[in-house]
Formats: sequence, C-alpha cells, structure tokens
Amino acid sequence: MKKKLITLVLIIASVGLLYVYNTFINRYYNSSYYNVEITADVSEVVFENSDTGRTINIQLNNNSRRILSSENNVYLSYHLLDSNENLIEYDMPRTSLSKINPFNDSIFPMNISRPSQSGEYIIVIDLVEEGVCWFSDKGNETLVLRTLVQ
Amino acid sequence: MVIPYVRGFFKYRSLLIEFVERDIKTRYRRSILGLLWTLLNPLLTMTVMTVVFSTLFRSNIENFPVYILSGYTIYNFFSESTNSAMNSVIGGSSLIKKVYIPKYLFPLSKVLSTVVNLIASFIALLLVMLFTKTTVTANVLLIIFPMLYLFLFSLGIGMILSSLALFFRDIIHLYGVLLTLWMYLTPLFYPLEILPAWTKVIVQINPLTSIIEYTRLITLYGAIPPLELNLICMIPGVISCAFGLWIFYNTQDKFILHM
Repeated sequence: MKKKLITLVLIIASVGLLYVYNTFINRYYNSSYYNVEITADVSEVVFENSDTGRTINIQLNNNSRRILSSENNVYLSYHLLDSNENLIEYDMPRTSLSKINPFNDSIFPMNISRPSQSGEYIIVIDLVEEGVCWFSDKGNETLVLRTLVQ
Repeated sequence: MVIPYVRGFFKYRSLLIEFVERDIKTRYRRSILGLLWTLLNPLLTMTVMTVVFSTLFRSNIENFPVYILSGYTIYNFFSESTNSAMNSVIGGSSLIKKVYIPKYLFPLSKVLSTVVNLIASFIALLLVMLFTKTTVTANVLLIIFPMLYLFLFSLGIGMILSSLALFFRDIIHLYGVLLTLWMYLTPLFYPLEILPAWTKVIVQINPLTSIIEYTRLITLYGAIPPLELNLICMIPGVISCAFGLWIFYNTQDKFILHM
C-alpha cells in the first residue's frame, strides 16, 4: 500500500513538473526576438539656443536569444511627437549598433536632432529591424523622453 | 526510502572512491598518453568537426569551434556516462554475488568517473576559447550549473538503464541506436532556428538541448542565463533522478536472479 502511494505521488509530482517544464520551454524558446529593454542616462532632453543636436547615452539590454547588431539590420532610432502626442515624424535618423550578445547589455551614444521650432516635444526611442518592422510593433516597450527646445 | 541510501552512501563512500579510481585507471591503462587523452580527445574531435562543417558543409555559425565543442562535451558526457552506467551492474555481478555492496554504487561510480572526463573537456573548451579569442568573463564559472544538471539527468537515466539492462539485455544494443537518434535530435552542429516547426518542438523538449543552450550562453556570449533556463535544465534532472532511484530501489532485490 505504502509502495503504491509513493509511486502515485511520484507520478503526480512528475506530471506536474513536466507541465511546468513544458510551460517554461514554450516561454523561453518561443519568446519574441524583439525583446530589448531600453533605458537612457537622462529623463528629458533640453536643447539650448545654440544646440543643433544632443547626444544621449542609451542602454540596451538584449533579453532575446539572438545577437543584435546593425550587421543584422537592427538600428536604434526614434519617433518625434508634439507635446499632445501627435506624430510629427515617424522615421528619424538611425544609430548603428555594434554587436550585443544574447542576455547582454551595451551603451550607445545616440544623436538627437534639434526640432526646427521651439516648444515641447516627445521623443520615443525605438529599435528597428530595417525592412522588417519596428520593435514596438512587436510589443517591445519604447522609451519616452520629454523634450524641450528653447 | 531515502535514509538508508544516505546512510549507505556515507558508510560505503571509500568504496565508491575506490570504484571511481579503478575506472579511471582501467580506462587509460597501457596507453602512452594516459590521462592526457581526456584533453586530447575533445580537442581532436572538435578539430575534425570544425574542418568537416566549415569546409564541406560550409556552416556559417559564428565561432564554430567553441559552438561545436560546447555541445559535443555535453552530449559526450551523457552518452558515455549512461552507457557505462547501463553495463555497470552486469559488469559487477561477480562482486555482487560474493559480498554485500549497495548496488547503486555501481552506476553512481561510473557516472562519477565520467565527470573527470567532463572536467577535462571543459578545460579543453577553455583552451579553445582562448585560442579563438572568445571573450572569457567571470560568468564562465557558472559552468558548474549545467554540469550539475547534466550529472543529475545522466545519473537518473543511468540508474534506470542499469536496472532494465539486467532484465532485458536487448536494451544494451537498442540503446546504441537510441543514442544515435538522440545525437541528431540535439543541436550539436546546427542552430535550432533552421529546423522545421515539428522537429523544433521535439528538439526543444530534449533536456540536452537546454543544457547545451545554457553552456553556450556562458561560453560563447559570456551571458548570465535567465532563471527560467535554469528551471528548464533542472526539472528533467530531478524527474530522471527520482525515477531512477525509484526503479532501482524496486528492482534491485531481483538483480541476483538475472545475473
């Protein structure tokens, strides 16, 4: 009786563990390739009168299983919006990325061009796989920075 | 169930060490290079595979020598340890018939003695990493985790096989075929991404795939593997060990009748 009970417990525990195993397998191997955490060294970008552009440091944490690099057609870029979140320009200049290995991070200096008119803006930092998609379209979180042009 | 095993383990640990030492000594007895073969073997295999796949099949995998050796080391340990564990009880039958020895010491000692080869293979891998100018970070020390997961998984399978082989000797021959199939279902020399969807599912379920993935993240990319990958590697080890012990425990009294 005791032997049968232990066998039963062992089988039930194994079935439970196999279920967890399968869930994690699916989550790990089938997770999106477009999984990169974007952070910056500033929370807002301010353009002085004389500035033609500003360089900010963007940290990218590659949480995917693939190598990110501009050799693989992946670039850093941003979208420009006005203070009411209306789109002004979607395709802004690209910043090339050197290799970021899976589950590694790297910091890239990114140049932001000064908008032609003074006022408040919002820039949305995003990644793009050229000719394929923007990472935000695949559910990856963007980085939103308030921008002030004097 | 577990306590007698733990007590027995401590009581007979000197015998276990003796078994492991004997295995290592017998393996390299009368060979000129001796233990050096544990280093040379993976290095030579890696060289052959790198030449074959980079010239004949024109593989475009980055840093192929480290890629192939990291996978081969894992698979080779599994294949070698389970194979020798499977034959361990049959091989020790003369001793079992004469004196009382906890029978699980036989498969355990075989798997432990193969760990020596695994450590040597990792040294070879480190040499290849340095030679190919792969960035070696402190994260390489995490190699202890895939080793542990692999040890648990192999020990469990080894114990199951050592019991079954006594009752059905055909398993010894069948397992060779199964290992060949297992090798092709393990991404040793191809990336998972090139597989069609239905094959990919099978290869992903294979516990060796995740252990190799873990090893490659550490060695090729210097990364810290995510927690979920640790769980993916650990679960098959725990299940196989639990089943291995259970099957062995429930069949060991009948071993003597089939020797």
